[in-house]
Amino acid sequence: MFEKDCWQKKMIKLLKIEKLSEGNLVNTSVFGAIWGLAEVSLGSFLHASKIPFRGAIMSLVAVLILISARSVLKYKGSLILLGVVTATFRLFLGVGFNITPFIAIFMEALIAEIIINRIGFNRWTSVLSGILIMVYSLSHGLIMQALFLGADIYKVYYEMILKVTNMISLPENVVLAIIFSIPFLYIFMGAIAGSFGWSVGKQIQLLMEKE
Amino acid sequence: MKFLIPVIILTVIILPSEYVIPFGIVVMIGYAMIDSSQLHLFKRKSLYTLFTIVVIIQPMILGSPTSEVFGVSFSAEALVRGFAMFIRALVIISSITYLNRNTEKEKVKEFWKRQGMENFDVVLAKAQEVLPTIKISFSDSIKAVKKEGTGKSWLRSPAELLARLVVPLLHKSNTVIPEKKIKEA
Repeated sequence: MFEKDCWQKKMIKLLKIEKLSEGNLVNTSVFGAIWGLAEVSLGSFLHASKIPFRGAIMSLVAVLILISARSVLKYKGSLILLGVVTATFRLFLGVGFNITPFIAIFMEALIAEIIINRIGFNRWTSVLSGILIMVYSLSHGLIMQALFLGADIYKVYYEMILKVTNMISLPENVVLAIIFSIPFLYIFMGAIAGSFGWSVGKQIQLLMEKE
Repeated sequence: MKFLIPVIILTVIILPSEYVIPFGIVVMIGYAMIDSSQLHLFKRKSLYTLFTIVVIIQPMILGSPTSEVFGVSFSAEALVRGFAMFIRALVIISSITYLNRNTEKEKVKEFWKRQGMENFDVVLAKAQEVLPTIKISFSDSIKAVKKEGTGKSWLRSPAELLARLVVPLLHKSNTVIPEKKIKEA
């Protein structure tokens, strides 16, 4: 009971958002709607077409929207609110099984909020957020597969890799290099998306100042 | 029933493969008796793809062959493992679908409010309100870029292109008047 109270207090502290001004409210809604639209349209399309790495593609979109939104939404907890709104959109409007994207969207927003809130908002923290979101995206798939299919799925993957390696007689080093290149690719793409999101945010700020 | 579902999910995750199969079958029969629409899950093609991969193909190519049916050798251990995986996925997906179907939007809003997000429902309502405007604005902006023929120059600075798509929305949306207010006027 005490532990539950502690956890709830921590959550409330993290999620507690000051009363929003009209501008912040509208702009949060706009970014929430843009992300929601991307999730419902692009997300549902990728889900239906069974394109590989669709989770990674949606995470890159998430990085771009979260980082560029942060240049306009400067209040504490803005990214969490944005994530919760988008996740709810996905839960009620998306096609297919929506609980895993719901968790992923919320976690991505939480990661970006924690990094930017703790360290500050600049190109480097945007890159760091992008990297960490993509690392989460990679582990999200693995965690969800273990949760839904059981930890045995790792055994299946391991045996499958061994079998394929033996079949095409690939050297072990090459197989390891291929496997380890995937996380590096995720990290690289996350860094680029983070940096690009920061540039989009800067452009938004410049255009808003001009008007 | 809603309180039982987390217990069922947790049990199916923790239970070893050999116990998951009978437990999962009982749970699925229970779900079908409570809500027959739960059986719609079997209309999904992805379920049969999963079945083919983990129950049929996996025992044939992985593990050491211990049994043979119609001349096809397979690993009995891998078959049990694959079937348990399939049943586990089936139970978890059914449980969450049941929860999702029986959870009202209002309760989700209340939950986030309780967590300290007082503005959540207002932002969600506004986001739903501006969604059609965003769709129209995006397609108009893309048409304008094509018409102006400035697409190539904007491709050199994609950040500016994206910012130009978003900025008008941020300004326009400040003047969006909720439908209720229009009706009141």
